[in-house]
Amino acid sequence: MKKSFVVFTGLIIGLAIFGLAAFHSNVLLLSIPLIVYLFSAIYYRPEDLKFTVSREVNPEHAPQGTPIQVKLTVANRGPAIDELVIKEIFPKGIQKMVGKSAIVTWLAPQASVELEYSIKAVRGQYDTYDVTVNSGDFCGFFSLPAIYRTNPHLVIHPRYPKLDRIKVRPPQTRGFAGPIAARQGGIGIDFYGVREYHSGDPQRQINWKIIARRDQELFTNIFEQERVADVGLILDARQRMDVSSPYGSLFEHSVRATAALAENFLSDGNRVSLLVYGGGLESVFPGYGRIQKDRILKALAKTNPGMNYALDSLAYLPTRFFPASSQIVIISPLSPDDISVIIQMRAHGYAVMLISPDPISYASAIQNDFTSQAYRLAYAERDFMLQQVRRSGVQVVNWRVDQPLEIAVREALSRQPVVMYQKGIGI
Amino acid sequence: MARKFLFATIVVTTLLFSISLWVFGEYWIAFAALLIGFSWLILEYYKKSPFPSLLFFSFIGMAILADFHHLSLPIILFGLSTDLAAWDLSRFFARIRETGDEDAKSDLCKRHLHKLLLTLFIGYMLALLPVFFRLSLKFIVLFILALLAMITLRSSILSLRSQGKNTINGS
Repeated sequence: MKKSFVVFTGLIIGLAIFGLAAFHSNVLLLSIPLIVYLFSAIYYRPEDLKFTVSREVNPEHAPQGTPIQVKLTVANRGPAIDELVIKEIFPKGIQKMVGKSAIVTWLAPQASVELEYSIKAVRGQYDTYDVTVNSGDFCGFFSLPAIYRTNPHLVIHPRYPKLDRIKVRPPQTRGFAGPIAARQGGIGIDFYGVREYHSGDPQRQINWKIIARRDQELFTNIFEQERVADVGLILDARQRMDVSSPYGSLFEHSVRATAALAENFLSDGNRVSLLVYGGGLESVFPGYGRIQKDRILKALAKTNPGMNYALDSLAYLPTRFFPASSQIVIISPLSPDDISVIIQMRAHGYAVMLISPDPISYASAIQNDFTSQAYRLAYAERDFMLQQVRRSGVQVVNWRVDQPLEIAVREALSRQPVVMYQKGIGI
Repeated sequence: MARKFLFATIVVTTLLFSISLWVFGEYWIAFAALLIGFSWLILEYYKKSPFPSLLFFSFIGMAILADFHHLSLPIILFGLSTDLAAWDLSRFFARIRETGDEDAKSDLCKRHLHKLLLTLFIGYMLALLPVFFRLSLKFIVLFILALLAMITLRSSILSLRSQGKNTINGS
């Protein structure tokens, strides 16, 4: 019942009282059309609503920014409704592009109405999508609102760049052929060493130069085997590590980088796992192929920076989640207290790579301040921190997020880790 | 179509009350009716209806005034019906303005207009009945009759609604 109903009823009563008080029967008669109008509204008022609401979302899995078609069907399983207002309530992060997301119409019994439109959504998992259905009589005196919830299972994963092959060299590889040098002699491309000839060795692998210098001894070239490896991705989702602004957040860049790395390692045939370390521990167990990629992208779709006092430091990182001597890739802006943890991981025999989105340059770009004393101090501190990590044999990619990730990775990984370089020149 | 009808009802209501009040010598009120009607028309033309109820009530006041001047009841009832139609349509367009596509709207407008005209016609005819069939009743009898009529109307509405429900469940 709306306010207008009360006002209208008051008007009728007022007319009746005035007519009686003034002994003027015609004033009473004036209220008759109004009474008929009022009763008509009461007769047609909505009651006992029965709707079935269904929603189709196509595609259900898509990268961020992809137009997604939404089709909403509202079917009336009750009596006819004179005025039906259907209005979509967009979940946070979803924006309508084209089409109609609201309608006002009437609906006969067993009839249905459809809304079709396209949306674009930011990264996330959208499990609930509401629609308001407001039924009313034709006079607008009564209104019966209802909210229907649908569960479309829409997953918007990050849009990530395509990276060139990233060369990693973990101490231990797996049994299947792949692109990673396995530190074992066998069939491969790169020269690994020479051994005595065994009968059955192919002639083209015989090292003729050595034979020329020896008497009646044959030697065979052996090559380095290439295998797939275990790669563990660790995404730092701690709230305190994130830098956010109205234009975006540093965490989004980390998520995109993680997705790109997962795709890169999986397309090379490696076994990849994911651990999101932040508000909780979200993990995707090691696996191969496209299904694993979908699992990782789904996990990345719903991840958000979170605060957890128990996981405030990387010290509680469950490294046992990753196979021994495997490759670990940490995607983190890095704080000074994380350095010891990374060095410890390296000491435990893991090959570690650090992709570090630069929070200093990101925050400075937001403030448009690259000259202040504070910026220079922070930059120097970060530089020192990364050097410490590099010295422990960790491959470090210091990524200024305003430049493409592929360029940062290519530039950083084309160099040897500092510790090996220093050994080479005898320091 | 419905929009043109809205403009027509406002014009008819305004002209009817302003002319009749002018004839009865209520020049200021006739002028006020003209002014109110014109404002209503302008507001509706620009799709703004901030206070349609106030305008509607003003014309009801003028209908009572015209009745006190012994203007013919069918004319007053006609003016009241057009006023009611204008008020209803004004509120209706305000409700559907924000949402919907044009196809659905035009279908809805047609249906709304049909129901509104039927309701107004029934109301007008019922109000005219006492003009032709005059009865002299005591107040208490009239009160009891009105009470009975209301109870009957309510029960008939409820029974009609439940009938409608059964038909839907059965299909």
